[in-house]
Amino acid sequence: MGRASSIQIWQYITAIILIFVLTFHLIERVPGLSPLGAKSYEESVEVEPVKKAYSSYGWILGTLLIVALFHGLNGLRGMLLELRTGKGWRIFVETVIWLLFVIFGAIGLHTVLAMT
Amino acid sequence: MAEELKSIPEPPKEVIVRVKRYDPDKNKTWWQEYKIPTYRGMTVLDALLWIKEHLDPTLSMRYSCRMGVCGSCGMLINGVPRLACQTQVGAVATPENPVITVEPLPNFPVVRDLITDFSGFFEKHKSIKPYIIRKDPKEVDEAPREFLMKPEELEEIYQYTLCIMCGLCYAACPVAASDPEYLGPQALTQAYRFIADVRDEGAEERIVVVDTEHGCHRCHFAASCSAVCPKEVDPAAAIQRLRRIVFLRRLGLWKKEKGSPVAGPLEKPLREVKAEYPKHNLLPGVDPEQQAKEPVTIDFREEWLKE
Repeated sequence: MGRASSIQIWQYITAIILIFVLTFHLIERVPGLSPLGAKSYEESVEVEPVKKAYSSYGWILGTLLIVALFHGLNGLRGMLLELRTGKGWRIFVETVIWLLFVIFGAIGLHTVLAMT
Repeated sequence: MAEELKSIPEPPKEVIVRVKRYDPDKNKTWWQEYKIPTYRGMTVLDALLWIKEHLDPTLSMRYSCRMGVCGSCGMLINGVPRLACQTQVGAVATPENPVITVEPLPNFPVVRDLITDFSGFFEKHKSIKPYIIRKDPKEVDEAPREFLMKPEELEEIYQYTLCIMCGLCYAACPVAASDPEYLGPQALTQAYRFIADVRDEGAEERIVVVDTEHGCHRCHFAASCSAVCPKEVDPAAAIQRLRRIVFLRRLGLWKKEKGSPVAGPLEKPLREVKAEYPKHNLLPGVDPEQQAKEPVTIDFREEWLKE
């Protein structure tokens, strides 16, 4: 196990990236400002226009997926490690968290790639 | 925190002190109530001692200085960690609700009644090396003179030096409640206090201890530690500053700005014992030559010598 600051640095980095990609993700819903060219809020949440728009912005959705997954799962890891202590529990929690990251990351990326 | 006596209302004539008792021999915990008379200025510690003297000599608690300095009498009073010697009965009991509940500090193993085991707490404090470390230990062990420190440098760490290790911050900490291995606000604050001290050169040794899964990154910043501190130390702020140092150091951006040199010979002696002072003007047993060598300030006044 490395130092706690190593994983904390990634928590900070993902938080900073999230500020940008989430801002982009929310601005998509604002007509006039939307970088995807949505004419109305309704249009910005309909499947076909979103799919069409993300054909060129898929990398942002992919980044949001990976970064948010890491950030959220790392937070969950911290909470679980506070519930109990001990080496066995830590290994169990970290294994489950990495598995969840890989599974959800793969499903999410597959969906994003299918759209683009 | 100690309260201004004037601002504290008169206590009810009688209060009920509800104490959480624990008998380690029978492994039994129970609540016991005592009705006691009060007086203006009575503290919770006074109330407990009154109970012990007049009603129940088996009641156990720990206390020493009775003036908020030693930190021995930390207890959970009406659900808040406080020093019993600093807590006025009038501040925690009202005529409408003249009940004071007293429990041992949470997050500590209970030894008996209100006495808790602080050995783990002190071990955590010890683990962060709470003393000045110099690269050359001789500078500390055989220091010819004191280390220099500017007033503003002292101001940076001053509040953290006031810690009396009463354990109230640790008792109030929600993280310490769930993670017994967590270093806790007291130890982490002291780690920051010494890392930020310009005289210290042991930051690396302490960062290794605090940069763990149970170190400074575990803090949730609930700030309840700062809220209950009887000495107005702000452990929550210290931990955030410590995290900043650890983070910047990890990125290679933190460097201690300056060290503190050992003071050189003083330009002016601290005091001068004039050779012409007759021996009989010194206290019995004081050697004037020896006294002249020792750096002790004695404010002699000419008029005293004339008497």
